[in-house]
Amino acid sequence: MGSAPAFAMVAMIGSLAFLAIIVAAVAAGALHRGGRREDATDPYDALVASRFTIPVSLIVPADGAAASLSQAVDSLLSLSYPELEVIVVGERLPGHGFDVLKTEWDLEPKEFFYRRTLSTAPIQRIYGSHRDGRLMVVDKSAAGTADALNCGLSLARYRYVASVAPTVSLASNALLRLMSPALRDPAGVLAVAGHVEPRADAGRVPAFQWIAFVRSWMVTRLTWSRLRCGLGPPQTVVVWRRDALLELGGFSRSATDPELQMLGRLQTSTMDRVKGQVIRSGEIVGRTDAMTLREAARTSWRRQRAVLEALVGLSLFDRSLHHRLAVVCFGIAELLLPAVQGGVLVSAMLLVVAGSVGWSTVVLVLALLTFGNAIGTAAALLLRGAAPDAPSTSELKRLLILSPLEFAVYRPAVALAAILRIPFAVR
Amino acid sequence: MTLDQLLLTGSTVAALFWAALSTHVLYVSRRRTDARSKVATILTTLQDDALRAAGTTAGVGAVKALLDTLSRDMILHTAADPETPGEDFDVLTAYMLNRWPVDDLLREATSHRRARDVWRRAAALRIAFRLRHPRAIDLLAAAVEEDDRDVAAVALALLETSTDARAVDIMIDALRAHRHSAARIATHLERSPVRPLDTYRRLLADADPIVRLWCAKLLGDYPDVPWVESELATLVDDPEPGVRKAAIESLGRVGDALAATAAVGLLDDPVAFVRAYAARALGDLDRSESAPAVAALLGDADWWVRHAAKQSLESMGADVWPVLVRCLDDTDRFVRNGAAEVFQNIGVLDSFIVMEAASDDPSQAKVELLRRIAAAGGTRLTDSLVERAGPKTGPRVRRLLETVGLEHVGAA
Repeated sequence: MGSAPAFAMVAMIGSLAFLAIIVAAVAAGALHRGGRREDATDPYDALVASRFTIPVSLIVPADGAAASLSQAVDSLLSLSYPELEVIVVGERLPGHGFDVLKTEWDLEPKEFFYRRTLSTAPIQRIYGSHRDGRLMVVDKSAAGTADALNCGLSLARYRYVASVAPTVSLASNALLRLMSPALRDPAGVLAVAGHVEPRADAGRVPAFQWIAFVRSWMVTRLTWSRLRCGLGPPQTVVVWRRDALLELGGFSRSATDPELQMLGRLQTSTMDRVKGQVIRSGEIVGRTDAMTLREAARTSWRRQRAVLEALVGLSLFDRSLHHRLAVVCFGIAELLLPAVQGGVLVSAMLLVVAGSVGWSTVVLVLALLTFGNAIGTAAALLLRGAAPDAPSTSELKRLLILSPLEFAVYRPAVALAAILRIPFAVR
Repeated sequence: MTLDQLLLTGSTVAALFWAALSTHVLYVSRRRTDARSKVATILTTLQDDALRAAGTTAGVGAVKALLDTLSRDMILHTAADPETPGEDFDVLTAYMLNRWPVDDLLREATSHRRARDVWRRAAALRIAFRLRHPRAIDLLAAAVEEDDRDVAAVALALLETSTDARAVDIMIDALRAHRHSAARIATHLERSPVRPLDTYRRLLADADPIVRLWCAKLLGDYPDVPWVESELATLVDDPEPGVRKAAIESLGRVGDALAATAAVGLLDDPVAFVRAYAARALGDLDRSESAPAVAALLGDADWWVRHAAKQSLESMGADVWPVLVRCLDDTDRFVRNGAAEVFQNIGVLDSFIVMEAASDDPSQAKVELLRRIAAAGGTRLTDSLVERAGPKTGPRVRRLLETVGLEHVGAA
């Protein structure tokens, strides 16, 4: 065996050992915590009716195609929260979706002079609602999500703001749960990120996406909840302290994921007025529709770019132990593990090409990775089963059976959709 | 051992571990479902009217066989659930205390070691409180004094429902200790059935500004108490701006003439948020005679004060329009913009322009006023106005604006 194949083999075995350690740690963590009751201890009855609960501005960045915008607005305005406002920031709004919104919410154009704290693309029109005074709709020139968020940030009246995609439906007490850390320590919390769960109603693709979600959620429960730092999960709703965002100049238009980047910037800022905690909460605050394979491929690609951007900005030097641990955990969970898994497979194939091993080795490596991944999923399901709104036993059974296929079938299909740009519309 | 043998062993071990863990997941889930189903059966059985009439002992007898199969944690959790009816709670706790000593419950309510045991402590506190155990209030006081925010939150929520005067004292001590969020403690004090008015009155002179601030805020819930307005008015000269803000906010809710005088005085406060709250208070008190003083804040250096002034003027209604007219010619652009926005929001602009657009011979004085409002508001204000007028009247409104050269103006 030449030096290159020998190196590939050592790297492959080393990587498999690393993956085995991670899987063992995750399984041990889940078994240690899993199965135990995870009831919320925070009583929300008092908060939901109190005038002392901090009000929140909800910013909904909507593109022109948001046909279900009216429903989204309705669900946000129906949230159990004492005082909130909803600011829909649309880009080139007029169209069928906007007509529905305009009729259903009795929107009327109204000039509103506000402090343009952040520069954004020009606003064409601002609408107020006769049906609910808490709703404001902004029609502005197209300039992307970050610009829409910055526009909402300038218009927001309250100290905390949350960005909510129109495709996300929040649970009725979601905002209270998400705001809970900020309500306990308003001076010390800069942002709280909660999880958004894909609907796993029917079909295999949604189930695979749900499996990916539940693993990300497990990482939050096992690691982030113990760290006083945080970076958001792939699908998230974040509440932000508005003054901190303004201090940092708002969301970056050049970032792949402006919210993830902002979570990083908040934690590395040296400004006196941007001091506090960023929390990645284990709360599952809402649901969203499952994506098609192509959307999943695009989202996954964007996420990896965004994670890289965020990691570049997060220095390990001159930081607290919590900060360093958070960065390392984030890097391992989001980038290193998928990279190592892919690397192991590529190494095995290279060894086949070099004639060092046979195809049986590739099959065995694939089997090992598949079941290692499935162990992680089973551990995540053990934790999820103990949390509120857990899946039923029959649903758990279905997900456990599908879990090995997530690595062996679903991920290659997503990768294929990304590489070949196959117009998969499978949900 | 060859590489393939190593990989085969690893894969087999991984597959077996996955199968074992999956079985464990399903076993735990099934046990949980079974336990919940038993609890549901117990609660359904206890709903029987005859059984309820027969008393707690009979209730325990009826469901004992099922309760014997449940874990203590499950019974603890069910009994502590605030939605469990009182009679069912009595049965569950009678069974529990008969089977396990009350000291176990009190020990659980006293402390916890690990984060995952917080729920058990919370449940034990809830049960001890609901049982009216003599030590319950002391246990809650100890919980509030701890740094653990989960435990404190549960204790405060229980104290809020207590009719014991000590409960209020514990919450006020917590306010003073600055250990937990003051707003959170005030939320519970606000809901307390004990109306500790004299305590709040006394604490308005407390040395701690946080205590003064929150007592001033809490007094905003008592519009029917005669001395509240005069006591709050004494705080408008407080050295702490937060206290002045809280006092004027509450005066806006409960006050009258004295409150209005105090609010006008605070319109010149050096701190911006105090000025903003003073302006809002005058709107809440519907003091349109103070509109000129509030309108002066449309040009305040701080944006929030300008915003509050607009809100205040809007809440005073259409009576303020003569004041706004004067603002339209102000040298400060913010004042002109703000006045135009208030004109728009109180409906004066729309009714004016629709009437004049419908007329063949519009009044020159009114057209001139419209010109000034439109010039002060800018392009988006006039465009919005045309769109609001609708497809029929809109073109006439646009023509009218064109006649005064204002179909497209920049904000003046």
